[in-house]
Amino acid sequence: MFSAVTYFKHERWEEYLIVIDGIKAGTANLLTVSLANYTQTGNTSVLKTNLNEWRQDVKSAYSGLGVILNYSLASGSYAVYAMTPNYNLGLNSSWYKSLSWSAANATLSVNMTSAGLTGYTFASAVFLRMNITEVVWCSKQNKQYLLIVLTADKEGPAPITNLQVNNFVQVNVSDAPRDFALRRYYSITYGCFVYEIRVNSVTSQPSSVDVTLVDTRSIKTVSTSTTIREDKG
Amino acid sequence: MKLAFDRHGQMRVIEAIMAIMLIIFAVAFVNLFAVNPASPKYESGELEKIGYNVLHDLDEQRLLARFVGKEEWENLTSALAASLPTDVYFNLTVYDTDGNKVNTQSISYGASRVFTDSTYVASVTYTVPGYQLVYRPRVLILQLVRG
Repeated sequence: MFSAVTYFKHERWEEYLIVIDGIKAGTANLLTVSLANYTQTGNTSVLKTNLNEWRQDVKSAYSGLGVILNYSLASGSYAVYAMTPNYNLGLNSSWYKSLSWSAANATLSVNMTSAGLTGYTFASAVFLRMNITEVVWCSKQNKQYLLIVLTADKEGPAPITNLQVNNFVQVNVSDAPRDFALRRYYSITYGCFVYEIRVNSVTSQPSSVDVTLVDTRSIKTVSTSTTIREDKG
Repeated sequence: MKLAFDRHGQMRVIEAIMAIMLIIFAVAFVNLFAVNPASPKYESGELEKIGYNVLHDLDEQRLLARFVGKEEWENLTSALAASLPTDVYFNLTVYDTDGNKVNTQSISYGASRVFTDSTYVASVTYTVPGYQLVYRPRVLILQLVRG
């Protein structure tokens, strides 16, 4: 009885929890870095490479605790947040559609030999999704402009509300890059937070609109819409 | 005379003594589990939790990776000083995975004497895998003492 009490009183439970939380947070960051790299360089094996290094680095960072990290990368089609990414080596992107996304997904298990912990498993997912909800070309004689209304989400899913003009790195109208102004607000019409891109001096009906978004985590996605409504009013 | 020879009350006294002993034993036993605020274990554990929470919050705001990745040590010092309680002194050291110290300037608040003189120094390890596109892990060791 005394040894059991001593064990529970002096075992460093809080420290173990902090270590596990730290590993989970670090892994989520690792997926973010890897997804950013994949979407900007096209390196499809970056997540696997980084996770292999992460396993070793976690072991040495928490030396003495006997931390062993194992992972499995998502493979094939998963239904997640009303999307079905088809993962390859834990990564997937679907661009040039009105609903575009970039996603990373891995499942990890932690063993901590010093605490007798084995098989603590957690999943880590990171994604960026952009949806062009409406494109309106205003064709009045004296005021011809294009309005692009879009939403952006990340894992959770949670709306991204802090994007600035420089996050929308390119806006193409009929394949030509154009300058634009950005507004953001909560839309009662769509019932969510939206971004409104306004491109002035669009004198003819555009054939397509491309919006390239790089969020604050450096994750990239590109949405394209060919459905453009003309507003003559 | 009758009361002087009445021994029924003796059993009540023995029962009372046994009950008191039982209560004392129970309190002493429960106290073995207790980690009260005055104990050093509690203080060290609290500081570890505070330190971890502050680093985690900075990480959630995407600030920690930026400060470490771009080596903005002054900003990191300011952010920690603003986030931690005023009576908590800290000293943060950033290492690479080979154990080499990365921060070229001190990331601390409070005289170094505070850390050497203090009986209880809490230590938190936090890892930052990289910044933006690059995997370049850094190990942060945050030491905390209460002033």
